[in-house]
Amino acid sequence: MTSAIDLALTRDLLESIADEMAAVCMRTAVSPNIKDRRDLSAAVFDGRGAMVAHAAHIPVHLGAMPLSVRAVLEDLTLRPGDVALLNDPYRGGTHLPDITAVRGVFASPNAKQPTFLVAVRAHHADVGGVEPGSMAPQKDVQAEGLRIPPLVWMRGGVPDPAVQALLLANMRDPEQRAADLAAQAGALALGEQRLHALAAGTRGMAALARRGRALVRYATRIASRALGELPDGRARLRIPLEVPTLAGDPAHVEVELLKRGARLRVDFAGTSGPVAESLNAPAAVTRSAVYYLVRCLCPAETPTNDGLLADVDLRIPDGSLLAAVAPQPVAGGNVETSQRVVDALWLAAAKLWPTTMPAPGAGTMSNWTFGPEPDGPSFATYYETLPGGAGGGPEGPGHDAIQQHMTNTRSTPVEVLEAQWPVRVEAMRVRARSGGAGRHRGGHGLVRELRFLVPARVGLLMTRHAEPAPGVAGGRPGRVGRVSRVRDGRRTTLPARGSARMEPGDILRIETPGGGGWGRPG
Amino acid sequence: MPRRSQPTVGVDTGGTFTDAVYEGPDGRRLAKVPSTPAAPAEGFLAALDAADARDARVRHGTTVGTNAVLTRGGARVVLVTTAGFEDLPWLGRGTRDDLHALAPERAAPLAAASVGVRERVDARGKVVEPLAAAEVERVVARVARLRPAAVAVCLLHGVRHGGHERTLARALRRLDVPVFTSREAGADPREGERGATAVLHAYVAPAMRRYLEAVRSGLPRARRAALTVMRSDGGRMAVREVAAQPARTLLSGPAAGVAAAQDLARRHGIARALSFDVGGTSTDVAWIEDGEAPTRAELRVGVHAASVPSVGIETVGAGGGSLVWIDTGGALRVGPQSAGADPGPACYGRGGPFALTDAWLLRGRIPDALLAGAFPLDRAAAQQAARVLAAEAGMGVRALCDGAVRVAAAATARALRLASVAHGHDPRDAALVAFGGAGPVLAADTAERLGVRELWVPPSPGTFAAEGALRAPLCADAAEVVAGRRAQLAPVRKRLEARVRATLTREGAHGIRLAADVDARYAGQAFTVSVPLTKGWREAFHARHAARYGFATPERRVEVVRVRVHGQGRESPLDEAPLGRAPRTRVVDSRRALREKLVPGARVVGPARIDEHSGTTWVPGGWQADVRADGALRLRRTR
Repeated sequence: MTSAIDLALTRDLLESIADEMAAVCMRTAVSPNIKDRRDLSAAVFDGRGAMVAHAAHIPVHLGAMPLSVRAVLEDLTLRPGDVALLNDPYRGGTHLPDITAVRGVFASPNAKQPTFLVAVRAHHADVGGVEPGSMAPQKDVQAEGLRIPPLVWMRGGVPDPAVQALLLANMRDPEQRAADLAAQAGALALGEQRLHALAAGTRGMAALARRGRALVRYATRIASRALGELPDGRARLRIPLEVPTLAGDPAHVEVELLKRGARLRVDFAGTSGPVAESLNAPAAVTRSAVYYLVRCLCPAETPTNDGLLADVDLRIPDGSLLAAVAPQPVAGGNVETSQRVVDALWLAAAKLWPTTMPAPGAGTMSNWTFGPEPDGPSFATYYETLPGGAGGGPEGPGHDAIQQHMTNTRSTPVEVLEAQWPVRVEAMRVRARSGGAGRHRGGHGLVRELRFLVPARVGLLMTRHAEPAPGVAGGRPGRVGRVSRVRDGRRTTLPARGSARMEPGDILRIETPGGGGWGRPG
Repeated sequence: MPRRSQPTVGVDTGGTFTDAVYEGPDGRRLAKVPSTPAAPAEGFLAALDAADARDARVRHGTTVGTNAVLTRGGARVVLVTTAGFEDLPWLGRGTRDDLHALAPERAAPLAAASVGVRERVDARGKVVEPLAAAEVERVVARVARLRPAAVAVCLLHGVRHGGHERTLARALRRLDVPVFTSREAGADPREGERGATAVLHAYVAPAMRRYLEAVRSGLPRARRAALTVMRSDGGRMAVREVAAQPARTLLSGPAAGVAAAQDLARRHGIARALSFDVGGTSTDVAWIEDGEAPTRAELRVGVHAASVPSVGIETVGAGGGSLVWIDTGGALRVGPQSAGADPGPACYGRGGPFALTDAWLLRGRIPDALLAGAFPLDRAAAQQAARVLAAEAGMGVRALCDGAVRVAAAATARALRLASVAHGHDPRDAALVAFGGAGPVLAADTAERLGVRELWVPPSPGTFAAEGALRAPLCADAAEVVAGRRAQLAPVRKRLEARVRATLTREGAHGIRLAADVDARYAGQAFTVSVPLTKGWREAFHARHAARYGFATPERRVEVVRVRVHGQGRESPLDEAPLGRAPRTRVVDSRRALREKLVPGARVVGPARIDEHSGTTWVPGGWQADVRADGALRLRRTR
């Protein structure tokens, strides 16, 4: 039994290593997405691939990182100094641009098995495929970009030249890719060094591993206590995804929560099969959404490690859109379907615990891009996600225009946007009266208006344009999102997913959805 | 000790105490008096009186601005911004503060209301929609109806084109309230950050003005103009500069502590140091290299951030008053909640909870009475509180107390590690400079966790921040954004240098040193790297980029974003104490030493405790403490 003191010390030390790895990667990476938007995660794992400490940046990486590490352990034999690489969305990946680097930490140079593993996952600006950025909707994963199964990228601390050449030959801006990968490798080397130093100061690697396992059990106790304090019950519901399945039916996410004491069963049986668009979610993404719900139910400062899911029985049916298999396209599963999965969990939890849970919020990341047209000037493709209204809750109204659930990336300042892209932002404001009415109203969405100064192609990947965020406990639904193009004073609504041409002078007006209301409007 | 020819006093106002350190022809005096948060000028003047320093030149670190922000007790601010962007302060960058909150939130901005103005400038500074005279009048009338106590103006691309902001500011000053434009407030090329900075200045301006007026009216007429105030970046500014940039004083207190640690590191030739300032509720740490603490372009107070240069301080919620508790997973925790000053820890005898100070008391790390016996502690109450918690944790009282100290040391060690890594260093390469009421008690435990082998405790660690205010240089600076233009850097630099020199000269500074920097980046990068503006600055830029980011690409285009000039000087000769030769070592055979009895050369071998009026130094077994010529203690690990 690890003492109350050792638990606190171990936690501080292991989390501090994860923090440092993230800090070094952020500091040494080149692309703004890693440096400024901080789209990365770093974590420490035990020898069997259980996550023991995590530097929390991106919730969608939470449940996925351990699956990637386990895939490495299944497929490869790592030696000291080796670094494995993978982005395979069917093996713990989230979507192709998220590349995970994994390094083993060995008790001695002759050890057969690593005692710990350290991993850093970072979103790369491009991993090949049809479109720059590797995020555009495609028919299959091959069109999305380069799929990397678990492979040994560095041997004895040096990149394998053949592997390195193959990777970079299939990515745009190879120089930047090499620098960002080097930043990941540097962070891992530091993590390994820190673990060795720590082991030397705590009676060796095996003792440290025991303390790591105690840390996982510690998180389990916190989660059990938090779940145990909520009423028991069972709730099932179905929520539309707004896209058709391959078979042509409207797709939906269905979930049943069964809570008994400290145990929770989450069963996605009844969820539709794969969809035609890139909204299929890898199982890793689905697992992250469940992880996120449990973490949100725990007190502040709960450690994020694999102990949180120890008492959760997660069932994702094979063949559903929430357990994507090759070669289904998945780029949007991470950035869009993940939000719908959280919504479904949220709404089911709100049925069980209406005095704890807020109503669902915007439920979409409102992903959109714009890039050059062949007949116009060339410029880099722009990508952003937009905040929407949060759901009203038992404590008060939902927040207006705020990033929710699986993302928390920062919006680009208007002045930076206008300095680097040929657009003028006409307005950015809270979308009045878009939150659902209720005793505590839903948060309002956002209005963003841009005028294009050159011909451009806009790509949209959004949902909640047909079905609003539902209210809870008598609250009213929020307003759905809408994107329109204003040309010569005439306004046309654009489809929520697809692309459209903008002429110079055209205005694109994006209105993001409001959150659902909570409680009967008084 | 040699003497200072000009009577000068450093005064630092903290949450509980106001401290003064006086130096003049008649010697050196210290004072510690209770702070008076309701009317802070009273505590300030009481400290001056206690140090018999009313006639001295005053150098001051204040918390008035910080408190206004933390308690949300600042001015009613109206923000004037480009039409279409009225929600700017409420939207921020769209993110939530806590990743895992069931109900996501973003802290409310400091602005109370906003007014949109019809005008538009593009990214190159070209006017797309002019600002009409009638529109100016409409905006002024609208703002007047909102009854602001201060106004901030932030227009899109206001850095590239200052005319519209200036015109509006001129008209708004008719309302007889302070007006701050974003261009003057920091010139950050991001509208949200720049606007928040202008709002922050406006938010604290009236409170700062009232406070400084009260302070000045208590000083002799001849000394009023000589008052200087600590800035967040570790320098001092003339009192007449404060009105234009009041938010620069927000981290005045913590920066004064770091300034003192810098001074100590310089005098003792410590190449790399970490300042370690442990107070009642939190610990502030900062990296110091070659006697300088690197500054950053951003300042944070609570949840609010602004583009104001500040010393790079990491804060962790662990201090002497931090609660010790067991969480629902069964781990022992220290902080972030604190027993505060009232009721205080259990040993204050007012029914308070078990806190870190109680653990120190029960393990003999601090004496049974603080402040030289003036503040007796209640050992029985501490014992009782410890027993209850120890039973809950299933351990003995002694194990509980030792554990609490180790957990607090681990938490502060984490902050020190992050502060070091941020500058690409290992903390083991540095010496700790420990101060604040509780710093020297905790420092050795923290140093052991980090593998640090050397630490320093200044004389009177509890008044060290006041010492920092006394020693910090007088500073002034100026900056100009040049991005996007074919940069002619020389004339910009000349203009900025003239401005800075004029400011410092007006305040009577001598020995003025000026330094010009460029903030540059590879075209397309989000972050800038600063290098001194010299002939070969581009090469220096590539080298520094390689040092910091692991690579450089000299073939890529480098763009200049901003030129900055920083100047510093001294109003009077420093009369600095020469350290003298290392005194002969004499071992003091004692487990309990009184610091005022220890003469230079004395050596205390741990385990031992060294008590003094404003703090206690713990020397664990395996460490020894040497008293240096200037009275500073140098602790070294001997095994």
